[in-house]
Amino acid sequence: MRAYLSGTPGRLRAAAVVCAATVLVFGGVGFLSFQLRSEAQSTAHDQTEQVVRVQRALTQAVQADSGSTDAYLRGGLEPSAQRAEYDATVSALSRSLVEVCEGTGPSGERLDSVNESLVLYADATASARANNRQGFPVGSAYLRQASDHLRKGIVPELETLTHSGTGRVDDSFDRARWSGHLLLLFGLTAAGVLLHVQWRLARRTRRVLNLPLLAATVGVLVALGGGLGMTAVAQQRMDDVREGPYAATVALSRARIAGFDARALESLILIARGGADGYESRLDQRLDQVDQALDEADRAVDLPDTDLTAAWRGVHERIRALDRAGDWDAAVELATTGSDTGAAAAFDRFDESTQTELSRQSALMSSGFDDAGSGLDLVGAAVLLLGVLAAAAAWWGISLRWEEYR
Amino acid sequence: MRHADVRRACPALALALAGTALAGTVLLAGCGTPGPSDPGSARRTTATRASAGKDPAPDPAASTPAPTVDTRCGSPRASYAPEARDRPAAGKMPKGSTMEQIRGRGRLVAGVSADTLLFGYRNPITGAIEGFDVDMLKAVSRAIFGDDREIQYRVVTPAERIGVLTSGEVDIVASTMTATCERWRQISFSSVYFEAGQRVLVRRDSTLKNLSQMAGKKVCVSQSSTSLSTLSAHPRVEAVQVSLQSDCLALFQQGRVEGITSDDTVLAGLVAQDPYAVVVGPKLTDEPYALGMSAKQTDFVRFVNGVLEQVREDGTWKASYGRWIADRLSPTGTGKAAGTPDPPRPQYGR
Repeated sequence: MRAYLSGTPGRLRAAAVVCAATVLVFGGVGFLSFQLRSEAQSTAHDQTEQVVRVQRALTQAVQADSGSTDAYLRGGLEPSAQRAEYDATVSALSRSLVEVCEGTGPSGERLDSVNESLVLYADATASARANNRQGFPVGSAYLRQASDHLRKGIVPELETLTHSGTGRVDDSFDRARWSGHLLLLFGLTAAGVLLHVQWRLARRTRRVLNLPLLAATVGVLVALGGGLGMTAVAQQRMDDVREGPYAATVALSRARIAGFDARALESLILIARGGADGYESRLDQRLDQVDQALDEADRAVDLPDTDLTAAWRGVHERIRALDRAGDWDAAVELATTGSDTGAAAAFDRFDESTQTELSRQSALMSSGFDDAGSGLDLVGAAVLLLGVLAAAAAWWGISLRWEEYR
Repeated sequence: MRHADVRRACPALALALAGTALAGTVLLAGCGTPGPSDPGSARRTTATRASAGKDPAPDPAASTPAPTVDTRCGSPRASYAPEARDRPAAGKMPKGSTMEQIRGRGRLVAGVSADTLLFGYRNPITGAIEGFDVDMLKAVSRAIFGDDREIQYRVVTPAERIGVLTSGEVDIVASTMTATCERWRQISFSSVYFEAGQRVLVRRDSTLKNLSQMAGKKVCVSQSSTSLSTLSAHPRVEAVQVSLQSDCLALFQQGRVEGITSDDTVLAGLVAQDPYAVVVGPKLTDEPYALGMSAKQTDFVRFVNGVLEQVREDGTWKASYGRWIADRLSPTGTGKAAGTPDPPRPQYGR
């Protein structure tokens, strides 16, 4: 072994080993970096889908509550359509929780308490309904319990899940970015080693060009350039989806969650007949959140209709004005009327338009992430292939020199 | 279950809370002139003394009623006498009077309960607030406006009743509110329009008959109620405090409390919603109900007392009693309805 590496031929052999090894490592790392990126991107995709699922569950939770508070405010027998809608929303929520659970992995435990709260919520709502049906005011106590289970049990837990979900999305993006740095580092090292060896060879052997080594260098640089180019394209696509449809999806969901909650609070304020100062400030907060979230969505994707809340806010202001002026009956009438000018109709328009836009953006998000991830494995394989070829060329190029010493 | 954990107070905490709620009532020990006719006040007095001192283990001797005299308060039942001119025709209120202001505003703003069946509750079927207390308010509205519908209801919890009066948010509170000396320090009361008394509600199959047997048991009670003060005299009973009466019934039905203590009137409303509940034991206190008003608006108090005299005399009181209470409440606590009693006689002297 010592003899093999000693003397000038030995040093040449050592250089060949170093060159080939460095270039092979570059090819391997390049391949792995694309694997890593592909994996990180698909994790980011999964995590965004998970965030969307959690937000869907959150929306359904506040939606169910706004339906049952609205029914209570109306008084009398709950219209069967509304009852059916409540049942459908709660079933959908239950299904959403299962879906969230399937996509949640290690945070599975958190859903236990959400699920428990959902059972208690449904139970309290059923008791409220049974008592209301008999004209017993204890129904209102069960309704408050139901609201508590929802607002203190279900909503905060799901909000925590949303936060941790967006955190994981950020982590995945960071990992994807890091994979590009890995490629750059090893590519530059390999090219540097090849150039250095060529320079040394040129000085020692007075042969200026070593074509195989030059080809290997070009190969490494092509693999590096192409890889970095593809990385940049993929990263750009990811960033576009993240700042566009994904940001819009999250913002629109937030707008809807805050919107349904505001609608429920509006009913709760009227039910409490001025006995609930806390609700008023929370309602104002929620309405601000709706506007902020819609602004965010608009900045992300340029919504076709930015004034989704105007009509509903207008009716809401009139309801509050009537209530403050002491005309509770008129306020309730405006809040519950089925006519086109009432709060229900205005809110339904907000609901429908945000839902339409949300579906559109979340579809764009999914296809955008798919596009951003396509071809990455292929590029990785190409980098590996180029690396292997370049390593062989480097070996061959240097071997030509030591052959001269035979 | 987190619900109950938040609201449940261990006995020591319940005492501390009672002490906080009644902070500034330390002087109450010297309040009232309970004689043999008014044992409830005496009992309440001692209970409050125990909690006001924030003593976690009150002296057992303190549970023996000790008559005390407060010359500043007099009887909490005594209100301001109406005068002849305080019964003006509807629509013609004296210039500069509180009633004229109310009339100018176009509505009487009234603090009520929305979940006390029989006295003040929101009928889930119609959405309207109804009950005996509400009937008293309707009479006031009729006297001012000539129409009993000019009322803006403001739903308040027992703990909020005094605050909304002192802040001027409402003109009047009608919400099963006991006239006490301690409350007279902050607000004024009308003459007494109903005589209630604190009792205990348990399951039909329960063997418990009174608070003394309920040591170590959870008993539900409203915050800032006179019932809570009474409960403080039973430190071993675990008080579960809630803000509204209907919360107590929900906890009771869910088996999270063994019993509820409140006025017999309130408990009768709960029994009407749950046939598995029964009211047991004797009256523990006397709770003379009066309408609460701002301490500054004495003219309004006199006016309302005039309205109440009319309500007592013209059959309105008995009609309302017949509609809401007669079949559901036994005034003697014997378990049998005893027909319609006479309305309480007004006392004046302020």
